[in-house]
Amino acid sequence: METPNLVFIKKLSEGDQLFENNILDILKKEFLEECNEFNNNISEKNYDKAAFNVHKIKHKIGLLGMQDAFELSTNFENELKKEEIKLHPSFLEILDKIHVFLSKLKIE
Amino acid sequence: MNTFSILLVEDDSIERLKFKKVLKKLNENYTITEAENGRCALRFLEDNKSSFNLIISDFNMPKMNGLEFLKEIKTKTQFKNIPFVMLTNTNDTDELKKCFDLGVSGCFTKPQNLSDYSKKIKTILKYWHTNMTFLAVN
Repeated sequence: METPNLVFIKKLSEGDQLFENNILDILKKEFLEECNEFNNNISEKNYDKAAFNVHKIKHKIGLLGMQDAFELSTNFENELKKEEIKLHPSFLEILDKIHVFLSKLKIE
Repeated sequence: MNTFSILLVEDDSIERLKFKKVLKKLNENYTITEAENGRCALRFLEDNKSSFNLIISDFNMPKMNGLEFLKEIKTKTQFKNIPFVMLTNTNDTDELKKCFDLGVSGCFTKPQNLSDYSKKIKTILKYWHTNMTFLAVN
C-alpha cells in the first residue's frame, strides 16, 4: 500500500511555508478528532454519521497523496451509506498509517 | 473602492484556508465571513446587520447541508436575492439540478490546486461584477 507524503501539500502551498504549516496544523488536530468520532459512530452502528466522517477524512487522505486509499475511502463511504462495513479493516489500516506518519511529522 | 463582502459556508477548515489564500491573491477589496455549516450561516445572517454581496457554500456539510441552506435562504425575503454559489465535490447531475431548481446562481466543483481555484473564483466574480448573474462554471 502507498504511504502518506507531503508532495501534494508542498505543491499546493507553492512555497508558502506559513500556508503549509497552517495546513499541517489543521491536519494533525482534525485527523485525530475525526478518527475518534468515526470510531465512536462505528461502535454505535451510526453508519450514516460514520459515512460523513469518512467523507471528511478522505480529503485529508487525498491531501497526503494517497490516491488508492482515497478511492478505497470513497467506496467505504458509499458502503456505509448502505449499512455495509466490508471495507472497514482496510480503512483502519489506512488510518493507522496516517496516525504513525502524523505523529512523527515535525512542522518547520 | 467599496468592500465586496462574501459569506463563505464550508465545514472543512483546509478548504476555507485555500479559499482565503486565493482571494488574498486577487487584487480587489474583499471581506470574508466564515461559517461552518448552513445552520451557523443562517444564524449569522439573521443576527448580523451587515449585508453580503455573495454567498459561497459547500454542498456536503453536517447539521444543515448546502441544499437545505439554499432552501432556507430562498424562503427569506431579506436574503433570497443574494447571489448564491454552490461548491461541490461531484458532477452528480441530480444534485446540480436540485440546486438550479432552487435558484442557485452557479455551481462549481472544488478544484484541487490553487491556480484552478483562482480561475474559477475570478470567473464567478467577473460574472457578478458585469451581470449580477452567474453561469455554471464546472
